[in-house]
Amino acid sequence: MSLEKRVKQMLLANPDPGKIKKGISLVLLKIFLTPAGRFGTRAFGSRSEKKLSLILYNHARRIFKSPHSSVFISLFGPIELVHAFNLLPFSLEMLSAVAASMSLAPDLLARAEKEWLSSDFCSFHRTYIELARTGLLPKPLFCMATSHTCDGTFKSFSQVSEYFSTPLIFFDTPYHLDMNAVKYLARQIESAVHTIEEITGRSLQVSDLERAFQNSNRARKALLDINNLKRHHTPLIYGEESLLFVLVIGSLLGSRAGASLYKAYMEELKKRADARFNKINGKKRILWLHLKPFFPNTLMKYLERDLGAVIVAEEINSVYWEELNIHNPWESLAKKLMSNLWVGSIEKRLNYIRRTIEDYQIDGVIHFSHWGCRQSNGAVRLIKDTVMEYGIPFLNLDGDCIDSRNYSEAQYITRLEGFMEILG
Amino acid sequence: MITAGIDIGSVSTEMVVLKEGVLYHSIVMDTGPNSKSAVEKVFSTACIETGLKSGDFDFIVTTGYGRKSTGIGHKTVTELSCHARGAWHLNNDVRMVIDIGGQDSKVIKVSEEGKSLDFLMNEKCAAGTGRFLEVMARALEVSIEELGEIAVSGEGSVEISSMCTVFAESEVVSLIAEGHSKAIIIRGLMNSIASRITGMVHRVGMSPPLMLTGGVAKNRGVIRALEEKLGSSILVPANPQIIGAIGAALIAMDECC
Repeated sequence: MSLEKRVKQMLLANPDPGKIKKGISLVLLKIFLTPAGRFGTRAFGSRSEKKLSLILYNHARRIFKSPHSSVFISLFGPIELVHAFNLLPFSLEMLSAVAASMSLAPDLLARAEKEWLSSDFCSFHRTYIELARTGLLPKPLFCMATSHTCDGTFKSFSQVSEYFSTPLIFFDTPYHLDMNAVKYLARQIESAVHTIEEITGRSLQVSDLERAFQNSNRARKALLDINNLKRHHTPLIYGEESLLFVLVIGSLLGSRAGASLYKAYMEELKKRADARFNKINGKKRILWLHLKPFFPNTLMKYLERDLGAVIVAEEINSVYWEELNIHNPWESLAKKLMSNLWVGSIEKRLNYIRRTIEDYQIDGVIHFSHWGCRQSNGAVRLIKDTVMEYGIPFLNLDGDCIDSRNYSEAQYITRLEGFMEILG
Repeated sequence: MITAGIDIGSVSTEMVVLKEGVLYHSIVMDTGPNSKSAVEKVFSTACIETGLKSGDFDFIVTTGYGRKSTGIGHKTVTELSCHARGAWHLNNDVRMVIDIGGQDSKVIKVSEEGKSLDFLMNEKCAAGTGRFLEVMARALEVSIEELGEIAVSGEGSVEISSMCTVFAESEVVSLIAEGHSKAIIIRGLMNSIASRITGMVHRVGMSPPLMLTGGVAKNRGVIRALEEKLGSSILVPANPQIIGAIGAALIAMDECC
């Protein structure tokens, strides 16, 4: 039996957060000892890629080490606020992605079905509910969720917080970005600050909030620079690696680690650009919309290594928000949440797509439609029509980011190859 | 110049040999459980029947579900491009191909040059494919060949509401028990396939003239139901099963020039 299978069986048969913490420490040690060689030669093609793994695993280790300081938060929630309290936010959706990457998700989803979780419900949500219920996660200090990208979040976070008997802070995010809506959300954020002060017994220090905002703004600036480098050069990084940035966005915006990671990537890509890097032979420039499958699969590798396409822009890495403003912190955070491309009118996404096709010299667009995700696949027809305005091909891949049980690699490969044949 | 196209589908494997661009020989065989041996078998049969040796082929393109699992061939091309090319070759006016195979169905928009412009494949499910018909034929205790003839022998149908092959099969069993005739149940099944395919056609964007390819195109009942739902006549080639292989052999010819 492979080591991976043994670990999986052990985790499911005897879930123990203490053992998981030890396991993560061992993985960290292994990552630390793995050399970061030259591009394409070692397990890590660059120091920034190694740093990404180190930072993410270390963040996970800290949550298992200090659960009383950890906060389970929904993706794109106001994590700067949690960092300002010196607490450890962790996106539950991204924990589902980690479970999928470890091939734990099919078992967890099968268990979820026994617990009246409909298979029509998003697999990200089903998986993290089951991660909590199975005892694979430690009890956090509290949970925090927003309705801004997904209405189902409130329902699933209610179950997680009920299971752990922890408080749940919930933000009702309005649909349209106008001053009244910003003020409505800002009031909720301000009230959340008082709730967290009550939970922790500590007052929020202005200097801590300032530091979290600075870190978030530094990360934002570095991500903008990364995107600009990708826009103006021949491919500098595989999209498969860039799409992992969502793990950072989900948990580390506002932390020093998050800012330094983006900076490291920015410097790495700048170095590659200056050296006229040409080791990625992507002939066709692809815009990738929404997320990707997180379970073990060869889809992205096949697209980027074998089919001669490379993802040069990812919707998930777009910098859609303005700098956070410490002089008006709550409204500033509210605006950031509401600027998300997936909130409100579809025109926001369509405008992003138009801008990116023009700015990044895009040859083709791929949309990954995650099962049951209305904010992603609800408007595929409009997205397709928008892409067609530019006379470039569009491929919609219906699939599931977490659940591998319905995944047939051959079917996806035919779609990708057919798409590349159209691209020529 | 001799080129060949081999289309390895989930149910059948076809090989087409072109001599100076003209159809020289074609073979249709069951794929069976092992697609690699199916390719070897179809290739050796073609050699025996034509007297050609493997060295005589200038270029071979493999396509279809099993296109990669072969030791034979110089290049693989998806069945999407091959069906577009094959159908366009038979009729340069064709702008849309509906390919209903054993395991999946596809709608392909074709350019003025016979290339694939856009496509849609059915989602991981047997509804609207040859497999769906096979299962239903078994439930109705008629042969797959008889299905089409029975369907066009009269009028009227019952509604089959389930898209799922397994549910539709139990629905068929219930309809038989209720005393409905086989003919009207079969017409209901044809309508069910046609509805599904029509939805796909409109998603890609209806662009006639349309050609129906793949093994299911031999079924006259499906053709009639599709024409009714689409409100358009459909071109059906004499040997619809080999269109993918013809396209592959033509693409092989392009590679030689």
